[in-house]
Formats: sequence, structure tokens, C-alpha cells
Amino acid sequence: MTNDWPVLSIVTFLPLAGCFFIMLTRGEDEAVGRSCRHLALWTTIPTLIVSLLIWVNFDRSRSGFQMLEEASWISNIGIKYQLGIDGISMFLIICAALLTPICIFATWKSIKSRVREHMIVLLVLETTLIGSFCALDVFLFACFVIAASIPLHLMVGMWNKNSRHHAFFNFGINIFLMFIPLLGAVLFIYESKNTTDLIILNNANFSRNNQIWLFIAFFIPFMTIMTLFPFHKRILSQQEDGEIGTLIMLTCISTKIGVYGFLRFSIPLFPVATNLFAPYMLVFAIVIAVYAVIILMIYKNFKSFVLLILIFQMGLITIGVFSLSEHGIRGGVFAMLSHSFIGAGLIICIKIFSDRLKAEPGHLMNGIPTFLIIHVFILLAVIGVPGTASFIANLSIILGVIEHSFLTLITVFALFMLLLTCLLCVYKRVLFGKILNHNTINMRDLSLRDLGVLSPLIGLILLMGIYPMPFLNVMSTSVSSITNDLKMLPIN
Amino acid sequence: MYACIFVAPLLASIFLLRSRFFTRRVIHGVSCGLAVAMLSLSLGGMIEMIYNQGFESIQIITWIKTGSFVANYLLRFDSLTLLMISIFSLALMFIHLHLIWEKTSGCYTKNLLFYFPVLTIAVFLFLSANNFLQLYLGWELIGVISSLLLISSRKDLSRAMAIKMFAVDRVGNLALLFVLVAAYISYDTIIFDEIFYVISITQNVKLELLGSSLDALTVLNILLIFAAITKCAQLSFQRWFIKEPLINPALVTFIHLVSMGLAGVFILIRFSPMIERTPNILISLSIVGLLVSSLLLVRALLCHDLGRMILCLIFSQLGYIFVACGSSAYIGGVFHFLNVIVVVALLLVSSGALNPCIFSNIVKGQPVEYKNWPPIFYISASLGVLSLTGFPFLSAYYSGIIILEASLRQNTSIGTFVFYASLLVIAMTAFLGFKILFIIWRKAHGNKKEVKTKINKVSWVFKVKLIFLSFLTLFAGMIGFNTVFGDISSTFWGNVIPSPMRLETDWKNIEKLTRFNVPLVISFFCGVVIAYFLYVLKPELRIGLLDNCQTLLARSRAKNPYDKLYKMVISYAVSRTHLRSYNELYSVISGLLCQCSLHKNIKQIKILFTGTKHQFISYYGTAMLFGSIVFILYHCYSL
Repeated sequence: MTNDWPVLSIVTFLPLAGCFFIMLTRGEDEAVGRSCRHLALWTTIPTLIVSLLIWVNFDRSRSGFQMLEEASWISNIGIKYQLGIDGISMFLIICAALLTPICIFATWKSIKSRVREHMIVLLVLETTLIGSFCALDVFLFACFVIAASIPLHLMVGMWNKNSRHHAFFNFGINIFLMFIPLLGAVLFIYESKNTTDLIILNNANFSRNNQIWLFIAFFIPFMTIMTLFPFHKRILSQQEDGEIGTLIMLTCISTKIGVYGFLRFSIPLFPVATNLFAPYMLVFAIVIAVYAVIILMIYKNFKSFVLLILIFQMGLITIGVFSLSEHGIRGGVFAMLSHSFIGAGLIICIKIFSDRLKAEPGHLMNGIPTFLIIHVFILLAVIGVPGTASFIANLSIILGVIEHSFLTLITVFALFMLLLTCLLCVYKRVLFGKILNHNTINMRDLSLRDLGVLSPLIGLILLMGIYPMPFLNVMSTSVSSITNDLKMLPIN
Repeated sequence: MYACIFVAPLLASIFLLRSRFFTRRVIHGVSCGLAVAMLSLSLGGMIEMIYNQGFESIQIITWIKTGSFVANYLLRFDSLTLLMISIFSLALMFIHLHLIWEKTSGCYTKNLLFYFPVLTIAVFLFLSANNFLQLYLGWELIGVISSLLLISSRKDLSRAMAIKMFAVDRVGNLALLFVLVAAYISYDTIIFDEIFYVISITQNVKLELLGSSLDALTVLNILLIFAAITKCAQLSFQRWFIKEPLINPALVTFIHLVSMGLAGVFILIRFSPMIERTPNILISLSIVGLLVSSLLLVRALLCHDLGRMILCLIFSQLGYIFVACGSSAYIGGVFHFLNVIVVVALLLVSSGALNPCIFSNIVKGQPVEYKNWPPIFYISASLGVLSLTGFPFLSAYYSGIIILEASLRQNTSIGTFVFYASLLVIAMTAFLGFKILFIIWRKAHGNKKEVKTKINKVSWVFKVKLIFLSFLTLFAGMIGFNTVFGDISSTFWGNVIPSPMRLETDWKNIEKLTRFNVPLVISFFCGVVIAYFLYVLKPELRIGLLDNCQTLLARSRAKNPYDKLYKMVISYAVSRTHLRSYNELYSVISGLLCQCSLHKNIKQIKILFTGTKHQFISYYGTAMLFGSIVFILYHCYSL
């Protein structure tokens, strides 16, 4: 089927079709809200199904890009609309396609105002995210990434309950600053090679100096998207009032564009610069992870804890990717997926707390058994207990880091220990701590909807931990091609 | 047949998921039946193993395969796996049998019961692993589920203890994870058999660590032993366990002890082909074991409540298993573990049945009265203590013989030291055993009518179980010594446990010395005789000695206030670094460092046992005194 149909374009633009129908809805606010929710959900589910079909039809024995689609876009300057996927981007597409309906389902009741706008923004965001994972043209990728920042910007500003102006302004400045170097780098690439086609550029050689400057130019926006230090504050600003869909899209999917950008563009196109900067990137990533852990110890807020865990995980993913070994990169990609699902689970959990308790949780040991089991399971997944997805990811990252240096390995071990300490402190407070709020005693257990939202995430975390081979097999060929290109570099 | 062993806990867990329509008894009955099935299958497998040497592997799926890093989900059944599965199923069976007829089932909810089959699956995954990754999976799951089991069963569990328990467990897990990584770097594989093969043909594989080149095998062995120490709660890691009144509910503590102890002991035995090649590590293993055993025995001697004494005794026996492994007596180590588990089952089941009357007062800090127990508990508890302390011809006696013999066969100064130190440990254990018996039998003369009523309240199944366990403690050692741990051990164990490399093969001189096990018997009786002398004949001497000791320690403490200094340093560090979240870790570390401050507990033992010369104790002590003299004379004559 996929050979005849432009499946990548379908999966990218199907959510936009949903937007069109949502815009047509008219009537009372409540009725419109209900219709919009249903329309959005029933648009994202086919998108998810199509993305799963892509996985089924993906030929894992072939290296390189598959399901290529090409069309002339700006013919005057030779820029093409070109889509294609490999083992890395395919899972990120599925991840985006899966988390969007979960976001819609999770915000089914919590979003009460501007439901139509919210659903439109969410679907546009899905389109841009999937598009950026499919794009095989640097210019197209930059367009999708910049386009993705607009719905994100709107989500942060419009559905943030209190400090919306401040968050809106901060986010806008960040976004504006980060894309200047990206567009500059794209223009420079076009100027020097007369094309922005990634497949052609993969065989093109940039001079050493050019590679260094281009790497830096790509590094700034990717780092900003990944919300690494010092841009992590835009995530932390969302901790109190951020809406659940915003938080999931912001932290669990959009941050992955940064890592994906490094894997797809920076590392293959600028291998010399990559090798040069890799040790600094490792140090940078370790500093970020340590910083996240230190902040974790200071923050007493449960919501901040979850977001900082996510920042810590991003540091860990960066460590894996810039170990530049096969195990490390594979671990990094696997961690991106596990991080998305675990992060989404954690965010949903804290939102359930905050919506029901309106205060910090404490002493949950005496009630809400189902919720407690799920919450403890996700916390165990965060520390990488075997049988969960993060264990496989952490293990691969560790195996990758060994090839780099033993000191880094020791540091990574120390980081795990630090994370455990922080987690135990939170665990202690949440499960055994003082009753901070008497609503805790009467807090009702998970509803069927909550279970429906959390169970696919938990199922995936377990599946990826217990039987990761379907995932590892698919991404292996793509990861090998990246590392092989790096190995073929001349020594000087 | 072997695959069926793995299916049993899966069936149990599925049954428990759909158990809302069944009563508690039915659930326990089914679970118990499945445990019995597992036990029978593993015993059948053991018999088959005797006839068809080797092992059987059932591969389920490939878990991870990336480059040379290959890990399969594989069930490997060899003699060690089957024996350990038998031990675990036996323990599980006792628990379910007990729970069927237990009246106070407040904390045994269905959610809690779900942990048992899950723990069994984790234990099976761990025991049947053929690579480090599956081992790590089982290892970590055992720790997590055991911790959750304890936390869930105790609503009043202090949070600090739950955190410590989890933190200690994670420390060991990280050590094992490091082993996995180091094995992969050094040998490019994580499969045990391949590693053992590489070790047997190549030597001096180096591990580059921070610029220095270290022997890979030594690093691996150190980490493995550290992991085993944390899992078996040795070398101060047991502090959280003994400090808190964790004895209640006894059954959950029992399963916790079995699973954690089993994991620690198994790892030592499974990697014996690796550990055996590093003699220095073996020596340190023996020293650690001896240190832990003697320290815990001293601690047990200094406290006065039965629960803690029994726990100290059990942990000291786990330390003695470390001594066995350090002396290359791996078979003796497994044998001793089996004996310890049987005895622990007897002790905890018999005492656990009387939870309210034993432990409620301990928690409140009140002195405990042990009167009005039904006689069956006195007898079974006494038999358990006697077996554990190495009473001649009871179970632990036989494993003691194997361990002592192995230590002497090393024919080195360290081996001789271990031999004599082990004798001292045996003497101390016997002393402690006497003290425990003394406490159990003190004021045992209750009202006959009341005792009779109590007996009638106890179900017949429970009595049968106690009798069965008592028989096991009496005869398990003898049966084992004459079968898989003695005569046919080489057939049964095959290549699973390597023949010790350091031990002398020609050991006729040693045989002469150890014939009829004179040293063991002498040290046992010496311990009992000293205990009898100090507790019954001359209690005032013991009290006087303790007073002097306490005065001396108080003086030395006044001169060297290291406790204050230590606390000052820690509090300074915490306040300066603002790392208050580390408090829990600090407390674990402080537990390690302050372990030796036993003298604090001396105050507790000022409770006088004078004026309680019960008839049984007098008879027992006198019999021991005469028995030891007759035994020594007879064996001297034989030599």
C-alpha cells in the first residue's frame, strides 16, 4: 500500500484536514467544544493508525531513507518538498502520533475555554512536528521547526492560567533568538553548495572552518528546542499553570526535534566539527544533568521535580548521542522514546494530583491504590528499573559511554545515584510525608478515562523494557550508517 | 518438565488477578498447591540431574542483540538452579500453608498476595539466568518487590527505614550493573559460560580504569562480593533491618530473608569459577564473613529481646556462609543456607504465630513475658535454635563439618586462622543458643488449663506443619550429608561448582584431626558450658563482669568522644553543602561507621536472669556439661 500512496504526506497533513472540519463547527460553546474534541480525536486516531502502517511496511534490512516523496516546491531556487524516513525518524513520528490523542483525551475535561482553538493548535502542532521528522530538505526542516514554534507559543500563552503574559513574552524571545542562526546556517549551506537537499549534502564536504561555524549555528537552536541550560527556564515557567497538553507537547515531543536535528543534520553533515565538539558536548550534557539534579534537591515543588527529571533525561540523551558510538546513539534514540512515554505518564500523574488536590501531595500511602501503583511504577521507570524502557536506554548509553572514556562512565553512574537520592526524597514525601492537604484522604482513585490515558503509556514502557528488539532492530541500520560515516573520517 | 516450573507462578499470578470471586482460603490453597507443584517438579529435576549430568536450557526470546552485546531470555536449569528453586518453593509453601488458617488477616490483602507470585517469577528469572542482564533483571526485581512487600505489609513502617532499605538495595544493584559493564568491556560477552571459558584459557585480562590497568577478574569479583554483601545484608547493611522492629509480620520478614539471602548466596555460588581464581578475594570474603558473624553474635548476646536475637543469629549464619565460600566450601555454603532456611522457617513460623504476645510489647519498649505458650512452640523453637547453633547430629552440624574441614584443608596460615575463628563463632553461637533457650523456657510453667486452651485454639494443620519443620531441622542435615552434599556431591554438582583449587587433595592428616568432628563438638559444648556457668551457676559473676565492662567502656568513651566528633563532622558537611536531601544516605553511611559502637547496648542486658533457675535449664546445662566431657574423652580415645 505504502509504495503507491504518499503515506508520509498523509500522516503529516491528515491532522490539518481535521483542523479544517473543526473550523467549520458552529453553535453553542458547549456543543462546539464537544464536537471539536471528538473531531480532533477522530483525526488523530487515523493518523496514529497510518503511522503504525508505516512501521509495518518499513524495510528494516535497508539502510538509508525509505518511502521517499519528492516534489518541486520553490523551483526557481531548486528547493524541493522532499520527505523520507529512516529507523530513527519513524519512531519519533509514531511517538508524536500517539501522544497527540493522549493529550486530547487527557485534556477532555480540563480545557473549558477556547476548546476549538486549542484543538486546532494541537493538530497544527502535530502536523509540524511530524513534518519536521519527515523532512529531507534542510530548508523544509527549518520551515517545519519554525512553524512548530508558533502553535507551541500559542499554547503556552493562551492556556496558561496566571502568568501568561510573562510566559508568552519569554517564549517568544527565545524562539525568535534561536531561529536566526538556523536560518542563517540554511542560507549559508544553500549559498555554498547550491542545494538544501539532505541526500546530496550527505555526500558534500564542507571545509573544517565552515563545519565548525555551521555546527555552532545549528547547535544554538537545537539546544534551545531541547530546553537545555540556560533555556530550561521556559519549561520551568510552565510548571505551575501549564496545561497538560502543552506540557506533554513541549517536554515530551518538541524537545526531541533538537536531538533529532543533531542526529539528522549536525552529525552527518559536519563530522569533523562533531568529533571536535563531542567532548565539550559531553561535558556540557553532564553539567546539565548535574545542574538538574542540584536544582531537584533545592526545589520542594512536586511539579518542578517532574520537569527537572525531564531536563535531566535530556542531558542523559545528549550524553548518549555525543558518545558517538553505536551503542550510545542507539541508547540516545531509545531514550528519546522512553523519555517521551515516561515523561507523559509523569505529567499526567502530577496533573491528576494538582487538579484533584489543588495542593502538594503527601502521605498517599493510605489511599488511592491504583493511582499509587501506577505512580510508583512510573517513578521506578524513571530510575531505570529493569523491565522498563529506560533501563534499556540507560544500559545502551552506558555501553556507549564506556567506549568514550571510563571517567564519563563513572560520572554517569554517579548521576544515576544522585537521581536515585532525589527520587527517594520525593517518594518519601509523597507516600509517607505529612498530610499537607486533607483532600488527600478523600481523593478519589483513577477514573476509567485516566486509566485509558495512562495504560497505553505504561504498556509501552513495559513492552520496550521487556522486549525491545522490534525497536532496536529497526533503528540499528540507521544508527550504524551514522557511526560508519564518522569512522570513515580521516584522522587529521 | 522444567518449563512447567516457570509456568506455576505465572498461573498463580493470573489466578490472583481474577480472584475477586474466591475466598482467602481458596486463594491460598491454590497458591500453595502451585508452590507444592513447583517443589515437586524441582525435586524431580534434581533426581534427573543426578542420573543425567549437565544442564538444560530453554530459550524464550532474544532480549537485546546489538553488536556483540547479546542477551537472551533463557531458562537455564542446572543443579544449583533446581536446588535453589526447591528452597524457595518450600519457603513459599510454608507461608501459604500458614496463611490458610491464619485468623488475623488484616494486612494480607489480595493486592499484597499478588506480590508472592511476582516475586517468585523474579526469583526464577534470577536463578535461571545465563547472562548478566537477566541476572540483573531478576536481582533488581527481587529487591524492589521485596521492599514493596515489606512496605505494603506494614502500615506503621517508618519512612526512614523504607528509604534506607531501598537505598541499600540500590547500592548493591549499581555494583551488579557495574559488573555487567566491566564484564562486557573485559570479555566482550555477558554470558556466564563464555566468561568462565575465557577465564579458564586466558589470564591477566586487564581493565583500564582511570589511567591505571587493573586485573579485570579481581575487579569483577570485588564488585560481585560487594553486591552479595548488600543483598545478604552483611557488613552493617543489616542495621536497618535489625534496628527497626521489622520482625512483625514474621512471614513477610521470612520471605524477605529467603529471597534476599538466596540472591546473595546464589551469586557467590554461581560465580564460584570466577571467585575461585582470586585467592585474595577469597580470604577477604572469609574475613568479612567472620567479622559479620562475630559482631552480630556479640550484638545478639547484648540484647535481650527474642526477635532481635533470632534475627542477629540468622544474619550471623549468613555471614558464616560467606566464610564457607571464602574457604572454597561452596557446597557447604549451599548446604548451610538450606539448613538456615529450614530453621528460620521453624523459628519465624512458630514465633510468628504468637505475634501479638511477643512483639507488641517489644515495640512499646516493655519487658516481654514468654509464659503461657503452648508446649509445641517451646519444643519446636528449642529444636530450631539447637539445629541452628550446630547441636551434634542436627542439621547445621553437618554443614559446619564441611566448612571447618575446607578451611583446614587450605593448609595456609589464613586457613588455620579461619578454622580457629570459626570454632570461636561456633562457640559463641552455642552460647547464644543457650541464652535463647533460657529466655524461651524462663517462666514456662503456666497454668495447665490455660495452656490446654491455647493448644486447642491452634489449628491441627499448624501443629502438623510445626512437627514437619521440626523433623526437617532434625534430619535435613543428615539426609543432605548422605546425598547431594556428601556422597554423590560430585555427580550432582558436576561442573556447576568447580573443585576447589587451593585445597589439598591429600588430606589424611587433616582427616585424622577432623575425624568425628572433635573440634566442632568441643567448641559447641564449650560455648554451652560457659553459658550455663554464667547464666545459671554464677549469674552474679556475669553481672559483675558486665558492670566492669560498662565502666571501662564509659571511661574510654569519655576519653575518645568519636561519636560526637563524627556527628559534628557530618552535621557540618550537611550544613555547609546544603545537601539536606542526602540525610538519608548519610544515615546509612553513619550506620556503617557506627556499627562497632555496641557498648551502647550494654545497658539493656542489665536485666537479671538470676533467680529463674528453671528445671529444664538446669537439666540441659548439666547434661551438656557431662555430655561434652564424655564426648571429648571418647574421641580422644578414638584418635
